[in-house]
Amino acid sequence: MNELKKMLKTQAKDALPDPSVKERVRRELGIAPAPAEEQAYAHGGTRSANKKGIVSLLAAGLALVLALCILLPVLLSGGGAPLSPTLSAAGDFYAYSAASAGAVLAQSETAANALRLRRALTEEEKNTIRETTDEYLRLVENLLSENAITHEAAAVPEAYARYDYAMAVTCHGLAGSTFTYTLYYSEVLADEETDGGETERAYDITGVLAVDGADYPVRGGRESEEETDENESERENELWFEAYTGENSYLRIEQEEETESEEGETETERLHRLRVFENGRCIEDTTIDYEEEEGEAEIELSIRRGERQDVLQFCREKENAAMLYVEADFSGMHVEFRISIEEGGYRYFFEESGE
Amino acid sequence: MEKEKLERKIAALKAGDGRAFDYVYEKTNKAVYFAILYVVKNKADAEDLLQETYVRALRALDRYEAGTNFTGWLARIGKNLALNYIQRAAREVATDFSEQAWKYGSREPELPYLFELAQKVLSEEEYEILMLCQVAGYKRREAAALLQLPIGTVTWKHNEALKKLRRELEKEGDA
Repeated sequence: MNELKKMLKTQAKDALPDPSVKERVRRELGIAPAPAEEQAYAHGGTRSANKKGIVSLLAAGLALVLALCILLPVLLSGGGAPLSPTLSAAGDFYAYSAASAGAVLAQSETAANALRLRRALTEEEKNTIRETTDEYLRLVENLLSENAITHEAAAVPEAYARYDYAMAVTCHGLAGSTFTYTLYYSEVLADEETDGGETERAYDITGVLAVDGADYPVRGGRESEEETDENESERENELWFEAYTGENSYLRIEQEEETESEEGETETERLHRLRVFENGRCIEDTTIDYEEEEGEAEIELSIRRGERQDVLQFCREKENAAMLYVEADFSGMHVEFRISIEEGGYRYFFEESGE
Repeated sequence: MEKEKLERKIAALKAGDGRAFDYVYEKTNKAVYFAILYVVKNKADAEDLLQETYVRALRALDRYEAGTNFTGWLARIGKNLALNYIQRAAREVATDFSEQAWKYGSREPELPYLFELAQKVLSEEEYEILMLCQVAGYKRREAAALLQLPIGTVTWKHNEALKKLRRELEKEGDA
C-alpha cells in the first residue's frame, strides 16, 4: 500500500492545478497582488534576481528549510521560547545528511527515451555540462555532504528589530566552500490540535532572508503531525517558504517529509520542490527527491525551465565518499560521468567512448 | 480552529480586503479542483473551470451563508459548472460516442495513468477522499471536515479506495 501512496504523491505535481490559475482569478477579479510589505525589498535591498541570484536564493531557501527541520524538535519542546538550538537535537537530520546518496532511481520515461550518446563528448559539451552541473550541485550538496548545514541563533540587530529571532545558517559545500545566510523572523503557533494518538501543530513564519548582501522578504509555515498506535507510527512534517524578489515574483520552496515505522522497519521519504515565479508565472520548477529505505538512499534532481528539462541522479558510495557518480539527461542528451570532490573544487571525468 | 480562520478571511474578502484572497484560495482550491476533475476528467478543462468557479463565487460572495461550509459551497458551484460544460460539449461534438462524446475532444489526456485509473474505478466520494488525503496533502480529519463526513467514514473509504486501486493495478499487471 505504501508503494501506491508513494506513486500518488510522486505524480501529484502532474495532477494538481497549475499555480497560474490563482493569478488568473486574481487578475479577473482585479485583486491586487500580495501585500506590498511582503513583496518590496526590505531595508533597501536592491539586488536583482538574476540567474546567479536565483540559485543563491534557492540554495539559501533550501538550506533554511533543512535547518528548520533541525530546529523542529527544539521549537516543539521550547513552547515559543527564544531559540537556542543545539546540534544534539538534530540527530535525525544528521543521520539523513550523512547518508550516502545510494542506488540510482529507476530511469524515468524521459530518460529511457533519451538519446544515449554513442560518441565522445566535444570539449564544448563537456564545458556546458560542467557549468550546468556546478550550478545544480549547489542545490543538492547540502543533502550529499556530511554536516552540511550548521546554524546558530544570533542577536537581532536594531535594523531588524521588528522580528523576534535571527538565525545564521552556514552551508559547507562538498569541496570546502561555505555560504552563510541569515534569516530574521517571527514565528507564531497558528494551530494546535490533539485527537487521540494524533497531534498536529501549525506555525506561521514571516521575516527577511539576507543573501549575498541583499534582503528578501519571506513568509512561510510549517505543520507537523504525529500519529501512533500499538503497531505503527507515522510522522509527517511539511515546510514551505516564499522569498520575494520583486512585485509578484517569488521563489517558493516546499519540503515534505514522511517517516513510517512498522514492525521494526522504518521508511523515510523527503521531497523538496523549488519553484521560481515571475509575474505570477512559474518559470522554473525543481524537485529534489531523497528516499531512504532499509539503509539505501537515493537522490534525483529534476529541473524544468520552459521547454528544457534536465534530470540528474547522484550516487555517492560510502566506500568512496570523494567521488560522485552522476547519470544525467540534459534536455534529452543522456550522459554519465563522475565528479571527484577535491579541495576547492570539483573535477569531472567523462567516459571518452560515451558508451 | 482552521475553519474559524477561514471564515474570518472570507468575511475580510467580502468586506473588500484583497489580502485575504491568498489564504482563502490556498485553503480551498484543491478540494474544489478534484470535485471538478472527477466530472470532466481533463486537467486543462478542470483548471479553466476552477478559475471560473472562483471568479463566479467570489463575485457572488454575499450569497454564501457565513459559518456553513465554504469549500462545499465552492465545490457545488464547480461541479455544476463542470456538468454544464460536459452537456454543452456533448451537444457540440458530433460523434458516435454518445454520452461520452466529451472525452473525444481535441485535447490529449494530460493526467498520469494512475489518476485516470482512479477516476474510472473509484466512486466520487472515494476519489475525492483519496485525492484530498494522498495528493492534496490533507489530513483525514481535514478531509472529513471539507466533505462533511464522519472521520470514520473517511478513514474507511480512504482505505477502500487504496485497496480498490491496488487490486486494479495488480489485475492489469497480471493481464
